[in-house]
Amino acid sequence: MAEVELQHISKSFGDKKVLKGINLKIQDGEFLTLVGPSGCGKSTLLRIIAGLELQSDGKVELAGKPMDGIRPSKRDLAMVFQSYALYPHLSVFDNIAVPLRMRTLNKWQRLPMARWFIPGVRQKQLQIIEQIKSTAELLGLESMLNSKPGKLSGGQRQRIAVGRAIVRSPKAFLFDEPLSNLDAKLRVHMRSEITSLHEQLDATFIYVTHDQVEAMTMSDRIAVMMDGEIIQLGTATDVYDNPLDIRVAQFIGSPKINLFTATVEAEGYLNLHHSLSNIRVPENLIGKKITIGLRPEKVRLATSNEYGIHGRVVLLENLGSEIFVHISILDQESIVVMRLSRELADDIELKDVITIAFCASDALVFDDKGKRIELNLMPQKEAVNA
Amino acid sequence: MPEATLSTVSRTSPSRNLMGKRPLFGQQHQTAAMWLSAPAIILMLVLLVIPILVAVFLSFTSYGLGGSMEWVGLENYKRIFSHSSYQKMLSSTLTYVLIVVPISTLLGLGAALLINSLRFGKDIYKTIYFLPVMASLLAMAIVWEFTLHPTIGVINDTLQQGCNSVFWYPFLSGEWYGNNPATSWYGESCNSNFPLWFGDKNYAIWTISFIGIWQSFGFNMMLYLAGLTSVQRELYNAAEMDGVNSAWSRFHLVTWPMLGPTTVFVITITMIRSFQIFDTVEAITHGGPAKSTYMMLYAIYEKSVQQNIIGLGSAITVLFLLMVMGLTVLQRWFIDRKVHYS
Repeated sequence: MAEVELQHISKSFGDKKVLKGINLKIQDGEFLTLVGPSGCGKSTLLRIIAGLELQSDGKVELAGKPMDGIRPSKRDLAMVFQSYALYPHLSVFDNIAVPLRMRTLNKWQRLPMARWFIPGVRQKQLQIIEQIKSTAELLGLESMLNSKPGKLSGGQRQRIAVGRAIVRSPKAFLFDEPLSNLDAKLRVHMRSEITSLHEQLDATFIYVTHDQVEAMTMSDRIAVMMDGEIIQLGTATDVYDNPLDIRVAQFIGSPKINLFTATVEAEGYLNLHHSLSNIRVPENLIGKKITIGLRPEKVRLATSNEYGIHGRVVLLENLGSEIFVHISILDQESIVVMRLSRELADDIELKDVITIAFCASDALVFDDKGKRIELNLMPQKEAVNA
Repeated sequence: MPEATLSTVSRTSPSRNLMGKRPLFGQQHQTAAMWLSAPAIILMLVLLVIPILVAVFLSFTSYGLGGSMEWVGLENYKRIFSHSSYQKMLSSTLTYVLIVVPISTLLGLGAALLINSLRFGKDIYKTIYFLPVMASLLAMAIVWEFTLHPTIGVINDTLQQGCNSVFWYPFLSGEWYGNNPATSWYGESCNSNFPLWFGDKNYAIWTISFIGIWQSFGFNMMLYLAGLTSVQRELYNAAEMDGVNSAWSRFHLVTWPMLGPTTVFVITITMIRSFQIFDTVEAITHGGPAKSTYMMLYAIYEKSVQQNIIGLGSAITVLFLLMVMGLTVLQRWFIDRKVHYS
């Protein structure tokens, strides 16, 4: 167990810059997730930490020691691969045994008959068997220790890959999209299993995924990566409620955040759908186009005596516990998704014209470059006033 | 569990399809299937099965072209196993196979691993090593015959010149190592003659084997190169993360097991090809000296074609077929048991 520190990590493949100066400090025992769309460089970053890829520039430190020029096998890390990368010719037992044998026995002691000739080998082998058994017990693998991976299902293989990683106590565990080859149901299950594993082992986990749900549900902190940069680092709540960049707002959250374009009028008030709102931004943005982001659960039906935005219901998605109402704003092309409880959505029919409203304090405002703007809110509560 | 129920459903109700009609394989469809596959079956019978049966039949007779045909029972086979020249045939064929197969397999693997680790010039090496495979072995045999000719050949000529050299003579005779140069192989050859590579019965089988290895290892190298491309890169990464440091451990843990299917195929194909050794024998040694290079295929050719003893030739052919078939069956068994992991 150790902390991991990255300083100015850059990586280029030919002319293409994949990572642009990443700085990141991962605490001892932390579960940190690198999340981002495919091609954002998150897997490359993980492989640089592992040493499987060399950075073009920058430094990797493990437990305070620089790792430059140290080969992956000497960095004392464990990794779970997306393809699991199990040795197909070895049984489950032997697969899990490989890291132990490689690290506790030397090349003479690994010879098949060594325990008859070299003193101490027998003892070490018994210890290895003991460790494998307890790992197998932890992951529920006891019944399949003698099978070959080829005979097992995806979920079981995934578990073996995890077993091979956790059978030792390395400085940190690296996970490279370990759940993306599983079906949806199993993924949810393995999610909770990995989380509880983290609690039991109390070790540093670095987890790479493109699935924002995995990132939100499992990690202590999330690093959202786009185009080779970490654009926001924070807890799940932080990243969801307080996105610093429009790309983060769009990437995190399902269904996606609703976006409205607005223009800044005199004194910094926003003009939203031809009505002046009481949302006010700094006056240097006057005349520019800005974007308002609104989470689906922050949109509500307007009360009868209140002004709001009119739209037509184009789709109702019933999820059982709640309903997603897709509304096409009149005179606009944009679609707004509203998340309502079943009771509130009861009267809404397809093609109805309804009026929606929201609180100004819930609006996330981004400038023309996509950066978040802090708001000066007017005292009154309602957002849209004609 | 849902999978289990699904499969029982489909198993218990196969008699009717979704439209409620009878299943496809009625009487009529079976006849159609017969008609459609008939040409292929007939061709296979005429071209493969019947000739083999004819050969088996002929092996029990004393047939020769234009001569009479008498049923002799197992006489031909008895002759093969009792007559010394056929015993030599079996032993020289097996010796050839046992020399060529392991060496050309290992050389092929080694060359493939080395070429695979190169950054530049892979294609050049591939081409060079593959050239002997592409060339006609018969033509190459003649080239080798001249190269290794005892008096005008370039090999013996070069060796002879080394005898007077102050550097090469001590080096090749092992004098630098403390050997007595006069009793060494090189020293003795200098004093008398360098070997008759194809004319001495102690050398001929080795020389023929050498040409066989030279000719076949490029092919094995190609097969191994193809095998290497199918090894998952991620496995090497996993091995590295598991603490594998040395090239040998990496080879032992990943490369060699992953090349298992390739190796079985390479060994089988090399064995079958070495059993078929014919060109070099026909071009250079004609089975001699003293039957030391009397290979099976050459014997078949000599008996059936040159001497018109087709009955005996057929018996050797049947024996040859059985050996090759045995090897193929062994390969299938081995592949299914040992090297297919999924």
